[in-house]
Amino acid sequence: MSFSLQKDKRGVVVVGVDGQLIVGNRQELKQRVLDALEGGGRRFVVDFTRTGYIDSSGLGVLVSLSKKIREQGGELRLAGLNEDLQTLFELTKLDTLFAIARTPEEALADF
Amino acid sequence: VSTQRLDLRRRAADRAVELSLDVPSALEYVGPAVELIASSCTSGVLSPRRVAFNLRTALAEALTNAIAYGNRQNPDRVVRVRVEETATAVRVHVVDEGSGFDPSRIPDPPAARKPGPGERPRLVRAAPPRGRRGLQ
Repeated sequence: MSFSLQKDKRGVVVVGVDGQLIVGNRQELKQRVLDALEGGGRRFVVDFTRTGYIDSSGLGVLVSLSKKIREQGGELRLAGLNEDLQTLFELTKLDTLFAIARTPEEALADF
Repeated sequence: VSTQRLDLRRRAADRAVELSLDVPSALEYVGPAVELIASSCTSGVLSPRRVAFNLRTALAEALTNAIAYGNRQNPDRVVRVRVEETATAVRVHVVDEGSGFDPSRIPDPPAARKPGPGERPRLVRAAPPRGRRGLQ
């Protein structure tokens, strides 16, 4: 299982990405998050604590999901990026598009 | 995806190791192929961190491009990956069976203008210029 989705008591959906987010599994992530959005979820945290690498199509799906969630009045936050992943988001300037927290707990704290 | 169709070949030659892998032209093979190759790069020339992130990311991007844009996901075509591990470097060749292109005619976006959000610096260079495409 590449992804885990859990909803906390306040309704924030935490999405864990295990291993990698790449061309081969991005559609699964997209569908699962869209299903949660359809089911009423509006606040999402993607937890990359257990993620090794993300390719460009993985970045693309995050941008797409963020847009769809915003259109529904929600927000997608990122958390748990290691140093290399943090650099990836800075190089692609995606750190300006997403709220990025150091840990999922920090992302949830003021959500 | 079944990895039965992925057969990694390993050959040792004069202080170098060469890994070879033929990857079917389907995007679901990208992840398993990357894992198979990266977990077999054990010479130590790249640190575990570089193998975990840099090598895997570069391989995934090159394989995706070769499968999607080189072979057009044609099941009759394969992408051939060859990895040379020497004492000082790891060189990766990713070769598709597409019609190729002239890289000198492709503008380099970061050189032409400041990249916007979501765009990334060019990570791999295409060679040779004609026929099949290799990525280093």
